[in-house]
Amino acid sequence: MDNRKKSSLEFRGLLYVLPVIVVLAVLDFYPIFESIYFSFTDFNSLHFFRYGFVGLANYAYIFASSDLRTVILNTVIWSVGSTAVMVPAGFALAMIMNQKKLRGKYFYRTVYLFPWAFPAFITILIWSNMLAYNGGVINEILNAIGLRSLDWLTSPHYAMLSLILVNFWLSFPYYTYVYTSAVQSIPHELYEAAEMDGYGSLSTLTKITVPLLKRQIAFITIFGFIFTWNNFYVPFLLTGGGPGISTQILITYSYLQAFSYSNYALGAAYAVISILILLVFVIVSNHYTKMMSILY
Amino acid sequence: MSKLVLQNVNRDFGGHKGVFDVNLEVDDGEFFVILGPSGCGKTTTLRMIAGLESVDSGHIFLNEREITDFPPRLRNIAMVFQNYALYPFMTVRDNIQFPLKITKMSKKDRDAKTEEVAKLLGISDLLDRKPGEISGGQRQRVALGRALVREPALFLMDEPLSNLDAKLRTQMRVELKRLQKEFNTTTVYVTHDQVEATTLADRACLMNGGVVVQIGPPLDLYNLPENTFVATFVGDPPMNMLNGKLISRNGEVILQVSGASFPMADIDLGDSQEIEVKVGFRPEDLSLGQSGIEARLVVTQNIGKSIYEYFKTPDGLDLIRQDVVGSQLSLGQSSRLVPDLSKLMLFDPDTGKLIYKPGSRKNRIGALQ
Repeated sequence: MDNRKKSSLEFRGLLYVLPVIVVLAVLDFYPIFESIYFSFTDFNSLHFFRYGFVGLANYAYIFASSDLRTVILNTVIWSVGSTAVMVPAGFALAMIMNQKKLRGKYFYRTVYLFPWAFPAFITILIWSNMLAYNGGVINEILNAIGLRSLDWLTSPHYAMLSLILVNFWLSFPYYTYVYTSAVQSIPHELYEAAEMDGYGSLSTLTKITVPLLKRQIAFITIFGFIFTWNNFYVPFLLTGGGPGISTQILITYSYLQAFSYSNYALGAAYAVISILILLVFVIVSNHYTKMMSILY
Repeated sequence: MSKLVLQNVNRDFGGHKGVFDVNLEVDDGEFFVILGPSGCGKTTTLRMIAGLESVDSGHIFLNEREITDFPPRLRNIAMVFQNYALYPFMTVRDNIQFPLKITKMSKKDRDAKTEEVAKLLGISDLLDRKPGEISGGQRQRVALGRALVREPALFLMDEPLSNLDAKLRTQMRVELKRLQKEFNTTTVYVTHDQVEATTLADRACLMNGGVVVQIGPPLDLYNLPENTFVATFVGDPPMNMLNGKLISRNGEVILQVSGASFPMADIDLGDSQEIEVKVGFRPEDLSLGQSGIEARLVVTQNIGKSIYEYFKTPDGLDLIRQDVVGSQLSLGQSSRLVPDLSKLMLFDPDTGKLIYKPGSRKNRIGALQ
């Protein structure tokens, strides 16, 4: 009887997760496996209807090309650079906003949602205008204080910096909110007890807040990194990967290969490489931080 | 030597919430309990002493030094919180030493001190565990340990036993009392549980609506309550409280309550013929008799050492009587209840103040005229 009951329970459990499995299968697993399959073919505009298996030819081509190194390096700079500013900034803002004695908390909380009040697409267009070499407000300001104009989006030196800057503007509200909810989950008696014992605000930050939020911080940082790694629209809309390929990241380069050059198989191979790198990264970082434990 | 004094302390949260004109004196080594229903201002008072809540006006002195505007860390006060406030990522040892780690004490001394306190609390074998791995009672001890290692001038405890189950609470009550006497540290303890107040306190202060109602040894609160609030709050089950009348008839004073009359020999009404009063008597001072208040037994509760009998009078009033086990009364049976006149209390129906208790010098019947 126990066995029957158990198996019927398992069946019901399966029923409940079925919608998620269906969605994942159709929108995630199928495209991923399709991409992996395409990456071993010669699927492109020349062989659009009659493509065939070519083994590791695409990968051999990619590893022989100098672009791979540049694109991976770009992706790492883009992801690490963005994560390194937006995650700590979110944490710092959350700490500032959660001070007991801060006046006007609700006002600030509304204000720092501002970057989110517009569609990212519009924000990026506005930034694109602001960063324009001629007539862009940023250069106007630089000129006004006696500095020369900078080639924000069209010089290989500053383009990546501009991308990270714009991405920072777009993403810090999210990290501030996530950290605010994490910080607010800490019972305030923990701080009061420390306060009575003589700990100041800096020492409570390092002795209580950070150790308590260790897992959350790891999780938020690592997922911020992964999200940025795959964050397509900022580089795509702002610089289009240029100048040259100086701001191409794996995901935009894959898109470029597939849809600008109609080299679908090569694009798929780049996507697969990106996924593999992330997979290794997640496994390694979870091993060291145990960050996934906050999910269950 | 640590004497705590609160002088005209106020904290107004608006909407009649807060603490108003509180005056307290807690002597060196005293176990002082602030008792009251939820929202009465007892925790706010404690937090003002701790420095976690600011004071609108008034003064707080510790050892004759004014600490009203001191930040908490400069007050040399340790506090035990209701939910223990232990750091989940630290071991019990680190939790206990946490207050010492910010001092200049060497690690060796810290460890020695921690061991000593742990031994005293009987948690020496738990030092390497995390708070999540020990029981509620043990966590309570760790929280106490963290307060004890500091050897503060004053202990504050905010309902420290309320998260424990009934049996453990009784046990920890005894333990707390023992520890407090052993350390002889002045302690202010906040609770809504009058049993904790009566068992722990050297003196207790009853608060209601942000105001101190009465201060004194717990037995005084029980035997000589200032008003009807104290009378009904202290004591379990609570004191019976009925409307009654004192009537002067042919030079004799008679108390009329719920259809029954009782002669009150030692009351002199002076010129008045009739005075409205509230009549209070404790469940244990109610006995069965031939003539008295008529009431029907509706519920009984056997608590082992005695029985609580819940009566209803014909006009719908509730009365509680405490009886010995083996009572002959059966449910639905009507009886006559006679309060012990030597222990009866009379209160002013308007102000609620105690105006008469047999043998007490506090009698103020005359003031009513």
